[in-house]
Amino acid sequence: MDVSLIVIVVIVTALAFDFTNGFHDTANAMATSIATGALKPKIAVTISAVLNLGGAFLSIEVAKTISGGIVDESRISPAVIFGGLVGAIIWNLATWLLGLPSSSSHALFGGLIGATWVASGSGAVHFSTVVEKVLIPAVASPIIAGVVATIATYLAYKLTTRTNPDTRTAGFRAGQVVSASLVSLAHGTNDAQKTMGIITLTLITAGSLAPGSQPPLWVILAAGTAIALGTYLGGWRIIRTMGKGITDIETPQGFSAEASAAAVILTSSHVGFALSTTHVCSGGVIGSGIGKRLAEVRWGTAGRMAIAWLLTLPAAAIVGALAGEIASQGTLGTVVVAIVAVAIAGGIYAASRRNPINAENVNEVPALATTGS
Amino acid sequence: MHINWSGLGEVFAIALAAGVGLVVLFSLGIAALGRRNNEGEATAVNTAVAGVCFLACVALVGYGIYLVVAK
Repeated sequence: MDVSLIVIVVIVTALAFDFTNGFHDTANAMATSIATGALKPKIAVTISAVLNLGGAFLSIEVAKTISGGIVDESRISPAVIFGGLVGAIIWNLATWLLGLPSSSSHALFGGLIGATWVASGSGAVHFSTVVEKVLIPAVASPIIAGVVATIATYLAYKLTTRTNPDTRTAGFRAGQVVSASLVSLAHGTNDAQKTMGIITLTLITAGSLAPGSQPPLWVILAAGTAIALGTYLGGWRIIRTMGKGITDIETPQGFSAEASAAAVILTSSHVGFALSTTHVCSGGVIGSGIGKRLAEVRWGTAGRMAIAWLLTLPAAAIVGALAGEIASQGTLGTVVVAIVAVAIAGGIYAASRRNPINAENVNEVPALATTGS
Repeated sequence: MHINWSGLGEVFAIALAAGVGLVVLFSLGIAALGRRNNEGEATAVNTAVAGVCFLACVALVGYGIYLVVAK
């Protein structure tokens, strides 16, 4: 088996992306449970990590395309995939530093679009598919999940108004453990697939695997482990924004938000209308704020999230285009991109240390939400 | 520009029914549990109602997991 440098680089970068995907999206499943105290922070990320790892093995359907038809895959080279992954990783790290939940899938799509555009021209990018698979779901996801969560939250309070508050809080708290786990499992079956698909297809184009091959066991193991490790590390900055920044969450709201998000994600993947997990979960939290009478939704925070969503695709595309172009120049170019990417990632990590957020202080209300907006 | 309105509508309708349904069932279960402590209420009836509600929730969640795994 002859594997060239670029293939190894793509595999390592894909696993790095999977890792950022993991800690970026822990918030989706676990933020509200951590905020209400239904689960202790460390226990929540552990459950989520185990379910993400399990989800990687559960789903039978293999991701057969890298991009889902967004770019012309016959015109993608490993250098383009590498560029796209670098764009996605850097955007994921930047939004994590700011504590903003943005879609890891959109970052990946953006990176691939940018890298493909520069390498093969705009003709290799299917813009109508971009609209159908990225833009419309981006608008529809939070609205659908928001409406469902608003109605669910309203009814959850309405039906239990005469119930003893302690019974109510404890009951919904127990329910949250299940609803959060369901979101985690749905997430694991979706997201680990993406990285597996990228690695498998790269190995196929490099001739190491026969066309149409299933992912080898080591690919499933590596991808599942990378996303689980990322999840276990916990994206505490984003968890705080989702759990405490948007609205003050009580257990009936947390349960309603998670149940709504799980229902929307499962339905959308069953019907085949792909929605973004991140956008669905954020919409669910906002809806749970609207549905409770007199609850305050911090629209300033919600607005910053929306801006990050708008920027995700173009920002990752620009980084992806640059990285892909330089990496296409040959081995030296690839090495340069890899070194610069590692340096930027290190810089972002260093910046995060100045204001660390971890399992201990994740439930403190962020300063921006109280003084800003 | 092609928008899959029927797919979007389908997702919305099913998710609304399943999401709101699950929360309503669970809330009714909790309300029934809470009523058991009230005086003058039939404990057995409320326990039974709570049990049925929670069982229905388990069934709904189980179906959701089945959808994930069978996909």
